[in-house]
Amino acid sequence: MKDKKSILSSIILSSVLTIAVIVFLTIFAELNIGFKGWLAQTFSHHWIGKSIISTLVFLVLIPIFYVLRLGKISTTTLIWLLVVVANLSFGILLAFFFFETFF
Amino acid sequence: MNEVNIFFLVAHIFLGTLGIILLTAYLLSIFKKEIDFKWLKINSFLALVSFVASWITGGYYYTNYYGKSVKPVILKGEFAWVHSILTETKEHVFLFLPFLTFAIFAITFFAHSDIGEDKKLTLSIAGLCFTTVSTALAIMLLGIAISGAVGK
Repeated sequence: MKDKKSILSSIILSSVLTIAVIVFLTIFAELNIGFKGWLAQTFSHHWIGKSIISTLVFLVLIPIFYVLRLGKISTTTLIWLLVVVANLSFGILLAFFFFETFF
Repeated sequence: MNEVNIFFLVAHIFLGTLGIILLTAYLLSIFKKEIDFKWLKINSFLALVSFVASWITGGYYYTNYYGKSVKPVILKGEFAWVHSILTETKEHVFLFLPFLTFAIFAITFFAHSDIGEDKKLTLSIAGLCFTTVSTALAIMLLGIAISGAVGK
């Protein structure tokens, strides 16, 4: 039971950090043309690069968080954290592209 | 647009809509007096498969057709900001959906015995489900707005 909770906690926390990484990759690529070019050159398209990197980050973080034994953190707290980060991230990206376009 | 691109675009829309329907059904199911956990597991798995498949099909359409044929038309028109704000937001926020849905699937798989019993947990799952459905719906609306900007 405790093991299941640790796996679940690591999956939820990995989702939280992966979404944060997607936001970081997106904004960093817009501000740093060299990085966006590298993504496009390496993965054939910058969006494919972000998709692959975020999937890898997600898959690598799960066992790391599992080893760290995060079962002590309440599942409910982690789920709400994911909800907050997902909504904030949507807002941050929308606001970023708005400012990038008009200012 | 050739038949392959049409197929990928239609599949992307269909699979994304299917994911929204499945997660809406999931959201309603967890508040039932007698929850069918087997159905919840199947539902969350199918929603995950739908969004991952929509991600792949949408990605194919976006990288093979949109960037070369649709984007230049929008940028030349009156509503160039539609691409630089709405498409850019849509294409990146879409990346959240598989991870959000994977979390819902994992919660259903590992904590199903507590769903319904633990009210706080049930409410948080509902919050996550609602966030995922509303994000997917917002992406769908952005898609409609982008389509409307082509050739204007």
